[in-house]
Amino acid sequence: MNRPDGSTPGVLGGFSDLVVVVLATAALLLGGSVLTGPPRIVLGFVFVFFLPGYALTAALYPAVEQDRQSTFTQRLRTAPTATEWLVYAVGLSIVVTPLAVLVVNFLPVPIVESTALGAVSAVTVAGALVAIVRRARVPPDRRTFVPYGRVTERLGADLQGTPPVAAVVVACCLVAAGVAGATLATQPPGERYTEFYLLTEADEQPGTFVADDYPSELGPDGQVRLHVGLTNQEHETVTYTVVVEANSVVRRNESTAVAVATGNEVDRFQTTVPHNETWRREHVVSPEVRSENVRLTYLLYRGEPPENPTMDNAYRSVHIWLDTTE
Amino acid sequence: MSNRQFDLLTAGLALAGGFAVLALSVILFQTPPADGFEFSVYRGYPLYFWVIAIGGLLCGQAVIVRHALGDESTSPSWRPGFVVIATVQALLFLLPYFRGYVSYDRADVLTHVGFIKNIQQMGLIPPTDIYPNIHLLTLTLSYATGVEPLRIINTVSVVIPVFSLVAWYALVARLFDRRPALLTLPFAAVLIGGSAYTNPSPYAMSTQLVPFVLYLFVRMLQTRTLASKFALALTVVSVVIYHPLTTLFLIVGLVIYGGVHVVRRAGLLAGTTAEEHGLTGTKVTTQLAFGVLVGWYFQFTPILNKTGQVVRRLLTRSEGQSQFESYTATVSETSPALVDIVVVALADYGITAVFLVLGGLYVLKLLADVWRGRGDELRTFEIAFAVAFVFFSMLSVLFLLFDLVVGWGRVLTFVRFFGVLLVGLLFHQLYQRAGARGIVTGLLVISLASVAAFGTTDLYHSPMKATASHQVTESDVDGATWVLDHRDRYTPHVDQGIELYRFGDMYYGTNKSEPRQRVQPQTPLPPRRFGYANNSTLGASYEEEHYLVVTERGREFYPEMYPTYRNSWRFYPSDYERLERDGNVLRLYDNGPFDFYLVRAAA
Repeated sequence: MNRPDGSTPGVLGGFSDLVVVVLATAALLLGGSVLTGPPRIVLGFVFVFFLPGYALTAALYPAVEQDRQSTFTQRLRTAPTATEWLVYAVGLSIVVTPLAVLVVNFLPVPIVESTALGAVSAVTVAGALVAIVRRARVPPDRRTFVPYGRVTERLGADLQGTPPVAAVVVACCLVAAGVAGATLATQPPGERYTEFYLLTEADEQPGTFVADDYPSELGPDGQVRLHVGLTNQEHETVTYTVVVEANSVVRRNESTAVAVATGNEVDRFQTTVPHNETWRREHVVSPEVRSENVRLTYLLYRGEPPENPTMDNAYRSVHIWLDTTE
Repeated sequence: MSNRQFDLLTAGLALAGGFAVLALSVILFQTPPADGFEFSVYRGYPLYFWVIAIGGLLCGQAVIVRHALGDESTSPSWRPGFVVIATVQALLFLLPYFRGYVSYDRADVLTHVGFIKNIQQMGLIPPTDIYPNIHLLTLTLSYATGVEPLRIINTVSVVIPVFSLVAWYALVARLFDRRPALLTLPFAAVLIGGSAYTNPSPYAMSTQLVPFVLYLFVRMLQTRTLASKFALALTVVSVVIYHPLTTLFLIVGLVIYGGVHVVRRAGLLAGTTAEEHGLTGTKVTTQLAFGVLVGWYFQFTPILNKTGQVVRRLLTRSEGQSQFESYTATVSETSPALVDIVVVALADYGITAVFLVLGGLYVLKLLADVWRGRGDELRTFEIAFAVAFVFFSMLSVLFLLFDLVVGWGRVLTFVRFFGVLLVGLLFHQLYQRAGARGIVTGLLVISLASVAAFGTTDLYHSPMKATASHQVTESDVDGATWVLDHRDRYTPHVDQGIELYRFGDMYYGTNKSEPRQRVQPQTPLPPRRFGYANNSTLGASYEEEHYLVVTERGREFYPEMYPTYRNSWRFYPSDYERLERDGNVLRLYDNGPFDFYLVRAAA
């Protein structure tokens, strides 16, 4: 951070940046639960990836160099340039943030949101306080500060230059960043699907549904009990139709099944389910077809099913195999 | 071409770069997110998107190079070029979010989310979490933003790589004078980290901190201030806990620097400059890094076991298959066409090859200078970088030929890092000495274009690199969690297109609090053709009931990855159709891309 010779810090005696750091830290720590959405996300990134490192850098470097040097002749320069400040701020944040929370691990308190954010805030505020103290001891003409006036001057000079290539390029990048941000913020969901499944009720734990102990034959009452369920992840309310079929295998020879017969519908039912909701019901079925290999198939359709429901034209399908011979 | 014409050309390139960035953002805005799993993010956008991205990088590089070859008054400044490069790359790093992925890099990253979950559940770092820094960073970010760790973790692999670009700039500005710095920057700032940029796991992210560590180290040597020493010490301690291998490689780099310094002071390769003081700073940094490394990691039994494993494998050549053996086995099994081998090699290792060639040229030039008695013109840093480059190049060959627990790709990262620090010096000296400026410029342009192109193809896993995308989909997550919630934990499972245990880590945490949460890791694939070549039912392949998980990534793997190698496919589309007619296979869950079956053992 450089200053023109003879200029004065200005705002808050050259401590305005540290005040902002402390206020931003407090804003997230105290008001984080109130803030939501993009503002919280942006503040959160700044809190983790910038503020702690900035405060530490300010504590380490309270004074500026007396003379300006160009970017590439700065080897003996002790105080960081503006770009080096940015590198320090982000780099030390990446370094220090996990270390601060690691310290909490060794204290008799759990790592939870309050303690993790508190630890990082403590580092930030401590760094800012040390920076204030160290900076106050530096003569005003050598004190580090944010040169708001100089930044404005340089921007103005760039804009007045002919051609203002740098300004146009930076403007393009800023607009691109804005478009990208808007894209991410307004992006529609990509995946839309429905989960469809069969479960049984655990004998040992009634009310618990498991993917196990599926019936392989009819029960003593000639019935089969299953629980059919679906979860709507379509991002809209959908009316579903479930068609239940019991079809036997068509065999070419004793061992090879070439196809399963279709069209033997045993039941159908409808339900309307909002997005992100689950629907489940017990289904008791008594298939009439008698065969060693009967496929009890549940076909799911969005809206009304076609005239000839099959696995090929179903939206989703699940099935079990039964021996329905006596 | 006159200076005025050059300035106009440079201005045109800068503006072209700016408009390229704008065009990319518009394409991203107009392109809807992925509606499911996609084998390659490169197919998610039209070809011209990638051409514009590479073109934008090239324009930025050209602006910087133009400034390097001109003087300080050259207009426009080189800075717009750097801004274009950084912005293009930031957009590329954000692609998983633009595509709507749940997360990217599905293996290790899901397990790391599991570690984070354990910290949330237990309120402390579990004993098995040996390098927790990335977990603590991501968890803190999750708390600060209010976004769950699974959804926020990939932003870490945007922020840290972009920071890494700026750190490279700070490093080269400290190390070199104007011209070699500006000849190094277009290489250092463009995608040399490869797929590590998009992998938010400890090793990958810790390597992105290497330029920052080197920058602090150089700064410390040059300024000798307490502030720079403190910053370096803090960073070294943190990097140790980010990952041990990165620390080990950094220690090697420091030892090499110290060794070169000692050799020079002993009168060999004579010559020091005013900035090269004693070795105290180097010694202390090395001791600190080594001390923290040993103190932190050797309390963990897995580290001791792995260290022993590496030593045994080096000495006895027993166990495991090296990467070289794995490559040759694949080639001999599948007999791929030469063009396919070349495409995969370039996509995966093209950028490394560029730095191996250019770095190797610089090393040869340096040896020639030393032979001719011009070693005193060389700075200690330059010699140290060259030695480190050669060392890591040789080490990578060792990791390629022996199974040393970690792949050679991890060593190649450091080959590129030290190689890039030699490239600018190479071109600077070629421009100073060579009469054929045109040839040097041609070589420079080809090198920059290669880095931009190969860096872009290396960024994401894709069939170009003979791997499927590492995208995690919503249907994967929902399907896997349904299975984990409802399965019988005593029934074994086989997976295709998914590693269920990784989702188990993500869902339950890596430390399982109940036996039912344990998921069998690394299960075998289902039998080839589901056993249908020899049996009428999949059930004949098992002696007990098995669960079978098949995802779209599994079903489409062979047609998408190896369309012209049908004879080598393990499964055909007809095999999946036959599952639906198999009297021992119950289909219990279907969400479209994710299917879950129960296979009854045939009597």
